[in-house]
Amino acid sequence: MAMQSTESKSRLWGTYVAIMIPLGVAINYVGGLLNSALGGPLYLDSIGTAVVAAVMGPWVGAISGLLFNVVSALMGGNMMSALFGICNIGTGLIVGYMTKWGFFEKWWQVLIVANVLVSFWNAATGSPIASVVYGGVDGSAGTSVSIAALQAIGADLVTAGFIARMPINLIDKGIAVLIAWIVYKRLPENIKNFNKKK
Amino acid sequence: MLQKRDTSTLLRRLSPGTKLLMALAGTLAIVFFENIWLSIAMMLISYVVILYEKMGSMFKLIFISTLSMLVFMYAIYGAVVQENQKDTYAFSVFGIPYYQAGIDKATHFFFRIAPLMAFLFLIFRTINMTDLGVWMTKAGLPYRWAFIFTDSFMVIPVLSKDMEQIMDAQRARGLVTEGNLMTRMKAFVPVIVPVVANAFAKVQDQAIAMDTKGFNSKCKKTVYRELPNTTEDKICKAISLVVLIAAIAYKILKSLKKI
Repeated sequence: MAMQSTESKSRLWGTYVAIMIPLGVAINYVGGLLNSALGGPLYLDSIGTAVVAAVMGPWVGAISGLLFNVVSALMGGNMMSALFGICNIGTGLIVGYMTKWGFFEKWWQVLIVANVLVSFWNAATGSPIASVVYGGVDGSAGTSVSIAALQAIGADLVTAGFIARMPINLIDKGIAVLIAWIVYKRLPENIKNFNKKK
Repeated sequence: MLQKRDTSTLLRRLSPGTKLLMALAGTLAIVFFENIWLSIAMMLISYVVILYEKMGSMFKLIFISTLSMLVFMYAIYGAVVQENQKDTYAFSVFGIPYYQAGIDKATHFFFRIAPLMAFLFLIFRTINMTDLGVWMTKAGLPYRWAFIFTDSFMVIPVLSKDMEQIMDAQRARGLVTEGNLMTRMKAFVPVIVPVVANAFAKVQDQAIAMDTKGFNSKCKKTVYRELPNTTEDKICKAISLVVLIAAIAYKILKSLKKI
């Protein structure tokens, strides 16, 4: 790949944004699809958001995450589920700013700091959104059964949703940010520097 | 950005603008009227049209998730949600009591989501993305945003195909994708990492190609694809508008009555 000058790169910034946002959407979608094909119990649909946020910056990542939820809501027919875009916006912003500030370099920064922050945000926002969209139970076996068990012992719906989602998110988002980090590390420097120089 | 236009059925002949209006009217009708019979009718009609349009295999996954939602919502809400502590149960299954309030809550949520899953699937899977991009640009959306939106739908099948090829290639190299949960999850990384890395490898060439075709030019973009406004479009738009206005009026009147 030919190296580009800073001037040409800055001129191409808008073009890169126009390519990367749909690419992030597609990677998220394919991640979810692959997870379904392998019969996995997780979601794995935020890898694209994390990679795009790491490469292009927090706001491009956030837009890509939001657009993914809109696109999948349209394709899946569940318009209200587009609200889960709020979770993905947080994923994009957290990973994007961590990369920008140089905290997305070591494996422990990714697995401990990024993973915990992203998982916490997703569980905290996902729970009230799920209660608005589905009334709390979203058809995902693990989460639904955990929520039912927690409600049976007296927890309210949102708290039960948060507690049930947190461990699943720690694994799900842990895999997502780790894959994003592996890919990010393998990218050529001129692409990687978009986020750092902007 | 040109694709052959499929005009084999009425649904495929309609313009994107008409379909978007139909989607909005259908969504508001289900959410505002909150009528179970309307939901069932929309669901059944959508299923029939999906089969008629030969989209059954594409819809399979959504249908399975609809069924799992049905089971979980009724099973969990029915057993957990009570009107109050003294609420007596309506019936019991294997000794687990099911309450009427829970069944009502499950019905409320399920029949709000399930019909729209089928209806919107039908609407959006039959939209020609090139036409949608043209329609959005003509409606005044900046070309860049219209491109990003429509490209998102176009990249998905390309990347899905890449994923299938990479999965086959990895299987040929000995990757095990079947077996227990750990074995299947272990197969995820060796497939997804090359998919993402390959996609990124093409980004730079794509950016240069788009730039040379004038993507960054400041002048106003023009399109040479016409979107016909047929009689069928006009009829569907009129019906959708009536439904849309009726749904909004019903919601306003209902809210006023409550006050």
